[in-house]
Amino acid sequence: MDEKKIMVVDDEENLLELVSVILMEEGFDVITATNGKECLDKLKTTKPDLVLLDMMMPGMSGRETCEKIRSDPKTKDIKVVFLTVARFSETGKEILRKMNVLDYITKPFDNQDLIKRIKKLL
Amino acid sequence: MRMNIKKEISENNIIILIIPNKKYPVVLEDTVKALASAYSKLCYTSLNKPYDKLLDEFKKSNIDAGKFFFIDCVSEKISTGKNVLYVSSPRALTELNITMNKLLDTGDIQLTIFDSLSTLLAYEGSMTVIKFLHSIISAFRTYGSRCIFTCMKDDVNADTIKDLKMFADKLIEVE
Repeated sequence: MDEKKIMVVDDEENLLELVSVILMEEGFDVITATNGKECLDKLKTTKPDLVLLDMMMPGMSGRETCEKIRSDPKTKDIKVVFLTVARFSETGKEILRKMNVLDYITKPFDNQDLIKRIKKLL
Repeated sequence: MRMNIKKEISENNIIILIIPNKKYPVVLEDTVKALASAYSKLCYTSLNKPYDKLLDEFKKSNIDAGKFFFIDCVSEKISTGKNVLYVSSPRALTELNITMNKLLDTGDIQLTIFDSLSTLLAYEGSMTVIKFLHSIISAFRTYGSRCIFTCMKDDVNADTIKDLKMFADKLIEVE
């Protein structure tokens, strides 16, 4: 298959490494960022097929990062999935839909489920 | 007060109430009065006023303090009274979380008034507050209990409000 590029954004470096390994073993090209600002900076020079975004990060939250991705004409069409410990309220889920977030995966996650859901979106 | 807080909380288990600073004492008093008339087992978590002062204020406002269990994060006492638990500091978020969970675990709390997110935001960064809020909201949902978190408008920025919305059932900005 074509090597799809995924950007994983999470402030927990152990989790970032774990998710990266899982995705690379499936043949994905993986880029990482440890916060929202680094994610947006990297998106200026690279265009992943999908961004896997944590919600609760210091500095810029995942929600704010996603809003900025959507507001930039160069990045607005990138697929975004939340990978988060957060349990969203119905109001929160509606906000995700409005931001065109395709899915949200809750931590702790099942490796195979994570891969299956990402593959389905690419 | 334009909103009907009793109706709002009956339809939304978790509410964040953003109140203009100048109106805060009045809106808070009206809110507590309204809820005390509708519920019999309430918790008042105070991060900015000691238990003794709250009792005085409730008395002056003709609010039945007997319906309330209090969590006092201000007085720095260790002992517990008849209807009060003390938390060592408004910054002791883990202790506060454990205390609130213990209280919810009794099954005796129908509704909590959490006064306020402003105090938390004065001591901690917004993401720390959001993580705490997310954790405590999960506890309320687990125990099927309701909560109103209050916050002064000037103490919270637009992005934090948007992030808080992700976890609450409703965010009400009082005009």
